[in-house]
Amino acid sequence: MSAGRLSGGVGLAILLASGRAEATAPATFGHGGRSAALVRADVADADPAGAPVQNAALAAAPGARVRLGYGYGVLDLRIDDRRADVADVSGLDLGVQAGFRLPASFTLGFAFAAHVPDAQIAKIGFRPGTEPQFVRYEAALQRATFDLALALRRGPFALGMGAALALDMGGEGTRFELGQDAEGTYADAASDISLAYRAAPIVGIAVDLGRVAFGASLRGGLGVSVAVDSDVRIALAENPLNGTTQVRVRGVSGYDPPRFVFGARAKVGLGFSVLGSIEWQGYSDAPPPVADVSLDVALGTSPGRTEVQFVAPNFRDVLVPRLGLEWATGRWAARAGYGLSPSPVPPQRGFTSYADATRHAVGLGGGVALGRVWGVDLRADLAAQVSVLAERAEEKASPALPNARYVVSGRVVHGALSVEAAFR
Amino acid sequence: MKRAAAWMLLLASCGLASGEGERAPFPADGVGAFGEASPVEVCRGAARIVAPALATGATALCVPEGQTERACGADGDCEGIERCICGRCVVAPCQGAGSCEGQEVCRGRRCTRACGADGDCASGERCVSGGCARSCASDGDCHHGESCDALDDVCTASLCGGGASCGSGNSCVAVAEVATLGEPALLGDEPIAFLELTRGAETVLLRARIEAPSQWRMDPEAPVFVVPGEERVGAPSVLRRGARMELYAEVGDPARIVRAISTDEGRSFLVDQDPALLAAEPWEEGAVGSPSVFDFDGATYLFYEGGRGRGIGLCQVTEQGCTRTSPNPVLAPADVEDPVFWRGVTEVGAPHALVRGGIVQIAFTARGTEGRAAVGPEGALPPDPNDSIGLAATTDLKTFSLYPVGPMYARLVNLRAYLGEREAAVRALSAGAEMVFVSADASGEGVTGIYRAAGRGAP
Repeated sequence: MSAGRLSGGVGLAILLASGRAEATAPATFGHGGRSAALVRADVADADPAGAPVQNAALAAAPGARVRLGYGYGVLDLRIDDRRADVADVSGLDLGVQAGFRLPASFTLGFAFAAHVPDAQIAKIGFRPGTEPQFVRYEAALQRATFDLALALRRGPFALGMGAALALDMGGEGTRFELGQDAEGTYADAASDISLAYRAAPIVGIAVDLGRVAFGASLRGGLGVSVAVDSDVRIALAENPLNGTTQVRVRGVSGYDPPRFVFGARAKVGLGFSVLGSIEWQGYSDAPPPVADVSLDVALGTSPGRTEVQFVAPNFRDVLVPRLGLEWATGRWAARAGYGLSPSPVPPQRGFTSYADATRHAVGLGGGVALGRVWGVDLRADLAAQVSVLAERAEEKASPALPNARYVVSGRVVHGALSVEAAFR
Repeated sequence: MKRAAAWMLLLASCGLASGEGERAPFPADGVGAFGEASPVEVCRGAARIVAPALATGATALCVPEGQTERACGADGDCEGIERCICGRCVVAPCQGAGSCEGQEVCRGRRCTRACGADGDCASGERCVSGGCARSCASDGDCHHGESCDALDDVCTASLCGGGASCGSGNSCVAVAEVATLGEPALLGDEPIAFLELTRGAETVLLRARIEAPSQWRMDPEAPVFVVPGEERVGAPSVLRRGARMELYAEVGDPARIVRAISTDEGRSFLVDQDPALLAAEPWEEGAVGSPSVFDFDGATYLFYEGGRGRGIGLCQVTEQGCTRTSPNPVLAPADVEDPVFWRGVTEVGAPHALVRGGIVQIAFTARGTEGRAAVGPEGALPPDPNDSIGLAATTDLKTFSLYPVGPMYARLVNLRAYLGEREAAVRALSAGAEMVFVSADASGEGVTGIYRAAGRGAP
């Protein structure tokens, strides 16, 4: 026989559970109608109510604003032209910002931005590691995000800082005991789950020179750490399988990588502005998007295998260029944008079958000032974003591996509507 | 700020959608990802085929004439102690202690609930000799397969068959047929399977209609391919050619491979080529069998087992017979041997080919030891050698890659005891792959029947 065998070491890392990673809904589609239409090219000139997401420094704008938006995205993602069961993305976007003029021409502002999915605060789940899964479009798009920013401006210069918040899932887990006492068999169960805060830093700077503006933003990586334990104890008379079973599951779900983005905006006349940015996404520093499982069985007999760990995904850093064009008059605005998002997923050669491909996103949108109602200036913005995943073929090192050959493709259509109330 | 709060409440009241349900997994492709296996009920007529290792000697019941038979799809469709056996509700016949499952006991020659007093039984039942029985005034008060004992006025069952007959007013209805099933083969994605049935020294080849994923019914009940003078005709592999079916089967002892054709949807086959392949190479040790035929790259090929688990060979099917692509096996025990994942491999055979997207996957049976030793109170408990399902794959029929972590499918019970799985057939349905195989104990002697394991996504 002429046989090509993979190294045995690959097998030790086999499956059971792998998670999903990569990029929240605001980071993928934008926060609010304007940012979505510009495909997030607005780091140098973002709305103050969306500052915590785009550039914390832009929170230092005088006045107060409340923006509420709703977005819905249909994910038609395919493997071998078969639609994968990836949930649609939908949820509310809330932005609140207030800025105050201080002495010496300083402006102090703070802002809060949140994305709250319709269905849940966070969706945590781990698919089997060998099952094809769209790592950038599953769990992370289904979790809520909460970003805070505090900024100070003087003249054209602004500096902002803040934090992105998430929850970790931990605690002592569940405990179940089946035993016997004088009154017979009893069962006892307890559960201890804690949802601890976790934060990642946000830093932004902005320089607005009038016709030209520059901005940069740095965000730390953030995911939902999961630590689920299950302890079962059985103590029954004459039962040959009395003992304990402990299962420990550890993983990170919905990871959003660290990002650094730099961009500019130039007013080119006739109400037109050109916006552009380039974003570094640090996927290579991401923790493995996997759940490690350890099993400790002491039931008279213990199994041979007690631990399952998955190989590191070896995602790679990517650069995402974006370009936007905006035309605005006093009342109306029209916008378009384009973003190219390379895939951080390396060629799949082993057991994992991560599915991803370079995404081309095109946005279109507009805005209108609705006038003053009850003393509040209202504005509405609408955006539609169409993304196409360039077809990508994977061929593994061995045809005897799960999903040895598959082709990834897909489209994402996302719509966003936001209404902003400005209090002056 | 009050105005701001009012606007927030107003806007927040719209747009909330319902929650997301469970997501369906992406269908398994036949490479691992198979779940727990469950037995396939294979029926011939009203009788369930029962492996000798599971037989209790109770194979037929005396059923009062005129007693109404109720159709069923599962035990839950039946009443009381009735079981759904081959699509109809009937009591489970038994003979001797230990022939009933779970909490039931064998009383009155059928399995029933154990009891110590009448109060342990359901309404209308009495506790008779430690088992619940319905009180009755006539046969109509009893479960299907029982009759009313006029002396005790309770329902009981009577066995028949094997020389024992029923009295007047009763007919003997077979409930079980003791035989060993093997070498299941699935016909593409059609609800048709072929398999061999062995009773004593005779092995015959049968066709089954797949009525549900785990319910097969022989259709017809008689063998579909008979070679005069041969006691062994089995190990089928079938390809559809439009309205025709092409069968390759193992015939005789020592075994050879024969081709036959059916023009009636596989209900009968006539010899077309005998032999299609005869043992010729030294490693084949005088016998070739367990064929698996497949189309690939515009030609028809056939994997086969040489000798008794000596390895898997490959030949190309032509009108003159099957021409070996190599004098050597494409897969031998030494190739499957792995110091970590599959140790002490002594036999390799029973190939089954599945072609998907330019890849030929070969599910095969190998005998060896997988897994690590379990640890018990008295120290290490090393695993026993057993049959398991392996996987090899090729894109050119020249180089073969093995599933890199030992068996693709193996079962473990009680944390340490491995079971036997052999003669697998895999197919990839749109909902997910499924596999059927012969289940046995680790020794391979105690066959328990045909089992099915559904891949991720498959029903």
